Amino acid sequence: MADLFQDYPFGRAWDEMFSGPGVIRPAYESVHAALQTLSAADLKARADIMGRTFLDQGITFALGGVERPFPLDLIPRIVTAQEWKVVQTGVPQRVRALEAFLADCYGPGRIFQDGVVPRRLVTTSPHFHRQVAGMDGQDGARIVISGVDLIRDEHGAFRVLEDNVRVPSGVSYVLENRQAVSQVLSEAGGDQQIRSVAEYPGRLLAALRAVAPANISDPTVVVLTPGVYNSAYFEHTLLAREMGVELVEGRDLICRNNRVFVRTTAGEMPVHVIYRRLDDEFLDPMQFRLDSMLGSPGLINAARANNLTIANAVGNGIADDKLVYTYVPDIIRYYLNEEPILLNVDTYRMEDREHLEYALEHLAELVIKPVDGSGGKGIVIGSQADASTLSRARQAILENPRGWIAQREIALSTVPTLIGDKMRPRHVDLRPFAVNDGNSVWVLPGGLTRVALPEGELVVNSSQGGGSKDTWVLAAPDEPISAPIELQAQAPGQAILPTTEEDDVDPDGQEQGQGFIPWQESPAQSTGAFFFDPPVSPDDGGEGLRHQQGQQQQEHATC
Amino acid sequence: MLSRIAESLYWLGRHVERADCTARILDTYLHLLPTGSWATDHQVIRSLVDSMGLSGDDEVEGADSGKLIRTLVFDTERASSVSGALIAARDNARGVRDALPLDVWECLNVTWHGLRSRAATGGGPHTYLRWVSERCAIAAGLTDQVMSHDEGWHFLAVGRALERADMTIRLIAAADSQTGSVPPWRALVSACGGWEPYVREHGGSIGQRTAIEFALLDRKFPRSVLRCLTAAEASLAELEAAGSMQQRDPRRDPSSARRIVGRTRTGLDYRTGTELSSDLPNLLSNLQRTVASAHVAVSNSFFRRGDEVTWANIGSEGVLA
Repeated sequence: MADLFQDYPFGRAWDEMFSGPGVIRPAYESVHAALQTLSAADLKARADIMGRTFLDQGITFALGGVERPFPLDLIPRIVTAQEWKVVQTGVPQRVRALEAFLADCYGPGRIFQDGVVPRRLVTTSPHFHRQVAGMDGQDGARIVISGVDLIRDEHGAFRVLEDNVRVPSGVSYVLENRQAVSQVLSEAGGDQQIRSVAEYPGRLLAALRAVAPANISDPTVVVLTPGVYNSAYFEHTLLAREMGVELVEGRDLICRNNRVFVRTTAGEMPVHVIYRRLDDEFLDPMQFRLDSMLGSPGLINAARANNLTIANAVGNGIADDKLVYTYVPDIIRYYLNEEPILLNVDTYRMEDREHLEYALEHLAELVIKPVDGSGGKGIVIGSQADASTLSRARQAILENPRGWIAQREIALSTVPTLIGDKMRPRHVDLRPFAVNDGNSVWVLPGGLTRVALPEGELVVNSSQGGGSKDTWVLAAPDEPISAPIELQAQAPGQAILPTTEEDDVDPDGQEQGQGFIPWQESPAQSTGAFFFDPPVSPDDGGEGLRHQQGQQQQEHATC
Repeated sequence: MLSRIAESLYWLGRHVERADCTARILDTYLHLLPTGSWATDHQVIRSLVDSMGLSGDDEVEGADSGKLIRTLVFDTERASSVSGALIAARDNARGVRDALPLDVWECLNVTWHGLRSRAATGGGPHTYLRWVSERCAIAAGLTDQVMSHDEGWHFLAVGRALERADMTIRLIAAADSQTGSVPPWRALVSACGGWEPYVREHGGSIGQRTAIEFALLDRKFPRSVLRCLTAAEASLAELEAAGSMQQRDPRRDPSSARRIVGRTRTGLDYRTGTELSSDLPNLLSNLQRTVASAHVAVSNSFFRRGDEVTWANIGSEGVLA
């Protein structure tokens, strides 16, 4: 049988399976052994079965209106217990520091007075929302869900690429990838103890209940989705289903007297915690974008009155700002009095004169990023850019130094990936997901490994040929594979009596008239012309709604 | 249960049933009629065309049978064609993924993916319609066997029962027309999917009275109008009970739909076959109205959306006045 790993090339990057030609790292031995028994055709057939399953189950993302299965490479990415320790301690440290930073920014602003971070940095961020200044009801639990993007540099050390503490997406793929790989490549695990990822929904629900407003003993949690046209819609349904809570859209919610209700078949039921999967700007048309069709007017006031918890909190975007990112090591030292466990990538601030001069001189060796970009938008990789792109980047930086950072180009670590009928190294990153219940931060042992499928590609993105891998975190000998979660007992939900209005329902709804009545059509349908007036549901905004629904997500790009 | 989800489940039930019924009707009548003889002047086809809002449409009026089949079966743009109903069912299911078992969703999604490839294989309408019937049967079976028979399931069941009653009533009203070598009443019973039960019950000879009695009043055949209304009434009673356990919105009347259906069902229940023929057209239009009113009542009492939020200071363009 032809060796899948024949002519496997080695470059500058750290390869996670091989420490040198033919030298396999111990963690990967069982995977490598399992692959030796398979031909490329076998692997291809298994990958096809998996793709088919994803398509049938609707585990897809929408690209240009076409649903595609999320490309998953069968070869898992393995992190040893030793290596994981850094992530497991480093990510919570970062989350705790950013929590303190956010509470401070929207509160007293001590860090500005002490001169660690300039106030200008925060107030010029497009994600700084004065609407939530002074709201401290959610301090310590503003970042319930976070996805800190990590990469491994040329020496195999984890470094933070960016923080995502608004609406990080991708956890559904962590759960689905594990299931898919265990179904089609079950032999690869060998006798290794792989830590379970299945407890995530339970942990998330427990955390969401824990951060509910203080005066609620049995909180109702809902997941708020932009709608079916959002590319992460599958993830929203999965989380709601696995947590056993309702998946609501903005039109299901209603705010009255600073309390939030959801419309049900039996009237209006109170809601206490919203895990929202849409951006701040669309959440509350009363406070932000007036034209938002996705949110519900009044949510912010309900949160301000401590009747509602919004997870993640509004205004978290300032901590995601890539210019703030450059200050995070200082932020950790300032609030926690600790040294950062996870290092940043070396970054240059374009506002700093010396940094700017250096960066403009060495533009062709650096990576230029917009500070508020996501999904790989606007990133210029100096070594791969032509002269005109570089001069445009230079121009853009000079026009708006606050809008850009420059980073050293890192050769991201590689993992073997099936390309055609051969294994080839491809660059990967890692998004570990962390859940914060206000007291402690729990890191899901696993995370989303994204892989850039084109050769040498450093930007990892679904629309640019990105795929993913199952991520195995190995258990240390004394470590449990999964820990039991304690959930509060859930009492049956209680409704309060809605306000009374005149009974305007015709008791029998009998319609008069002779002869046959045309077929009734569903109001929710967008297909085609109907016999009688096309019944459009009152809040169906058509194209505009689709467009808004499509925008909401914190996409994942790496470079 | 969220109103939006209840509504989607209700429509899911209706759309799957519509696809199933339309497929069976077309499959039956396509076989019976010699090629070319059936066109828009045939009553049953006419009724289908009417209900799709195509009467008077130049595209369809006087169209050849091939074109008509394309419109009634394969047209993905119309929610009343076989393909269109399945697409609509899948769209509804997609919006309530968290309320549906994975198996049911997967079934509808696989069907949706299969629509295009199946239509393109050129196996002809019969193969396609058989396939649709199978897929609908799988969906219905999974719904009954895998899904918990909770509030959501009852909404789905109400939608299914109302749609099935509606289709059967339409069929009876249009059935008295030429069907070539086969008696029209046999075609009616076959299109309801009940030829074999009918033969067992009434023997091989078929007449108008027994055929209509079977389609309307049979107590054992699950597609008779009586059985459909009984099923709808039972599910509506469950929904009413589920609603009354919680504190209700006084603006809604959860028993209105059950009253409408129950009244008509009782009228049908205590009728004999001989009484049918005297006033059939009137009875059928009454039944049709019952289905339509029940739909309105269900929508009003369970799916009602709240009053629109309007802004005092915003003009109709959504900008500050």
